[in-house]
Amino acid sequence: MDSYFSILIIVGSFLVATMFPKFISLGLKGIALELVVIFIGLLLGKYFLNLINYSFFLSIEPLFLAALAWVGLLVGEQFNVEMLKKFDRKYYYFSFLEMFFPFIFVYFALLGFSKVVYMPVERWTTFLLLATLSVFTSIFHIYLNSKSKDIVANFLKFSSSFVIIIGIFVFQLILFLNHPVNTLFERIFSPVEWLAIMVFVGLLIGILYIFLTRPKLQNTELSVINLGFVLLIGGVSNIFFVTPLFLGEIVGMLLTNFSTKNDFFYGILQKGEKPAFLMILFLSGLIWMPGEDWHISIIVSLVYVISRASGKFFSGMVFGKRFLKIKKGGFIIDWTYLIPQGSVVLMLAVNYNLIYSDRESNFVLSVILLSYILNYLLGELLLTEENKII
Amino acid sequence: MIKNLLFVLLFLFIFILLVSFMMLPQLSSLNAAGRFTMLSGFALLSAFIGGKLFSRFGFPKIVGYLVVGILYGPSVLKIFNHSDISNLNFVVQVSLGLIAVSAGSELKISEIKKTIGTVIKVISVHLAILPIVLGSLSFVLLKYYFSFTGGEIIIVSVLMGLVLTTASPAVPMAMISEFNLEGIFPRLTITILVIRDILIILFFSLILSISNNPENAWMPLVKISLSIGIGLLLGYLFSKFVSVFNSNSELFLIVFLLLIYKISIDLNFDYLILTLSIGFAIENYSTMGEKFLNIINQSSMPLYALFFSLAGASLEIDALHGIGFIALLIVIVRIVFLYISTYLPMKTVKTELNLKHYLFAGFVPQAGVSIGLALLLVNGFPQYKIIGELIIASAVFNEIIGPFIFKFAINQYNNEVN
Repeated sequence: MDSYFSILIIVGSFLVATMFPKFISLGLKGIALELVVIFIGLLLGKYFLNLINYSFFLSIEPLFLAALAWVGLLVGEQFNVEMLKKFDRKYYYFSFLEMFFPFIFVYFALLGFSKVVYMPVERWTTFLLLATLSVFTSIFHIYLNSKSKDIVANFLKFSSSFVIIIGIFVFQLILFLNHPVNTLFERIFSPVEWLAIMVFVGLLIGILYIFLTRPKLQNTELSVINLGFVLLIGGVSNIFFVTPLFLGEIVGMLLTNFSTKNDFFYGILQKGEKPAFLMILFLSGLIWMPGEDWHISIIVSLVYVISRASGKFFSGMVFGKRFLKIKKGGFIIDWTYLIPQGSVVLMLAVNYNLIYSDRESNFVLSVILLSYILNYLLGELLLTEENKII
Repeated sequence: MIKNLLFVLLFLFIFILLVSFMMLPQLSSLNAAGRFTMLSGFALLSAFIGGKLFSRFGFPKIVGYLVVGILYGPSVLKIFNHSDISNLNFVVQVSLGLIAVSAGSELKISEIKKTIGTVIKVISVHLAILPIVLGSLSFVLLKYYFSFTGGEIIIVSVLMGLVLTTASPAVPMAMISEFNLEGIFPRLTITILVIRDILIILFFSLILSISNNPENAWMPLVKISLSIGIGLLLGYLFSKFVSVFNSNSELFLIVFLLLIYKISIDLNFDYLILTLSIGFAIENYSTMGEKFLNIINQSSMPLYALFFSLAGASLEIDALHGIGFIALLIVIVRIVFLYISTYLPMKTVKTELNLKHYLFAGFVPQAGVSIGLALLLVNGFPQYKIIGELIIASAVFNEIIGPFIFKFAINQYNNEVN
């Protein structure tokens, strides 16, 4: 009966995800809705009620891979060279600082903390991965709360989108440094070779995608091609142990810059964005197993949140003083908007967990999931305080 | 001309590239999730390319889907092995469910009332002629060609005659959607086909049950009645639910069908009848009929592409070895008598159209129903394993020939209507 119940639960989650827009009118907006979905997954998952058969979850893994590829394509679509050229250099400086300081702060804070407290971390790249995940910011939160139409809001909006593109790329680069042994090839490749292979595969898929959609085709035919490539990207990523977000991003970059049908693709990708996101969040709650390291995860996530917030604050301050020449006060850029993390971090953490499936990757997922929740709460708290002051 | 050639070359090139990649020997030993996802993507893309190429030459797209499926299946290029096809079976079943829901929703009571006389006439003549002719042919083949001597040869022949009479609603549904066919011809085809298949399944199950387990001979009747009743109830509840929540019904319908498939397997309901009844209830007992048909039509292309290419991959081409000639004989006799048994009742129907000559075309394709019943037959009479191979071999021929014949009929109908 397990699989029945699992299907029923999945039906239920679809209901929650797609059939109750009333949630939004109840005040559960944006990230709050995401948190509800994660908690539902968590509640039903193995750690609490254990209502979902784990083998059933594995059988729907292809759906998860496809959802990641879908989001990856959408992220790559943002990398339109013509559009990016229109932005002043300052936008890139700000994005760089937005990535640099949180990365450095989180990396050294975790490294230092690991010297004092035991952490279940054996791969030297794990702290780099956690630091990379700290750079992501919730685009949705910024659009929802940033009411000002001044230059600061524009900086925030630009950097939160740009950071995702670069963040996924860096995340994958770090994964290549510790790439799982792949039985596809007879010899072991270096990280650079892996990068070259995967970029080549991504470009090849992207070129096929563009050529296949060059002739005059109906919209339904274009949708079929899109679905076919989403599945192909998800499957190919899985067999090479890379995240479908990375491969999807490369294909999306090619589409946005070279495809004549890009507007259509962007439209259908956007339509499926919300269900894809919610499904991944549900699954991340579902597979989370705090395990024996739960107490360390809580402490580490606190360190993570504090060092990340400091990094974001510092980047805003440096940018404000250095580039906008604002001297009064420290909070030049509304850094409180940068605190909540986007759900892409959860996708990457879940994907990492599925690639390695060990105690360490589970620990990473625990830290990221807890910090995601804490960052959201902290962001809301700071926003309320800021509104009071205003 | 040059544009067409470039189009064909481009699509062929991409197809060959995809196939070359998928044929890398390393790809056969991957983890299940990655392989499943990649193969689904490949199946969809290659089916699309196949359909597009075939339609360029004036053939129905589903022939392209089937041919591509046969190519990448275990009989030819072996990109998909038997285990892959079995893993992807639930995709096929959900697609089949959607097709059946769509076919069921074509059965509008108000429309059936208008043609009920014709429907009864055609079904009666079909059931009076086809099982007898095809059963007799089976008897002759089993007794004199395959030299079976057992006492159950008569009952086996009767059952085989019934199985060979069945048709596949999937092919006509796909082609009706592809060619945007409307009017009396598609409506009669689907109505006759669906009601006739349900009756055949009922007769087949009853006869098989009487011969194998006479004490519980009434069980198939209960099973089919329950399948219809529960299907009607589920269809009604589903449409009520969807209209109350104003939901994304396409997505929900797919998940719903997954659940129905699982229930029908475990509780031994007839999945096809259950899903047909759901479609019937949605069309006739709710206000969702039109909306549903639109939704299914919108998503029909990927559905049909995946369904038919996987159906092509699972066609046992090897079954044609040795018995191909016999199977071809059965196919020819079946088509001839399908024509006769449709022509005779249609001759008495007053219509401006020449339906009597081409209405039979929609009943030629065979697939899931006949193969499913053939497996039941072989399970009931294991010593007649050859029957399964014969039915599968003739279904392979019918599945490939069927779309061409139906396309010919569509052309005739369109010429008359326009």
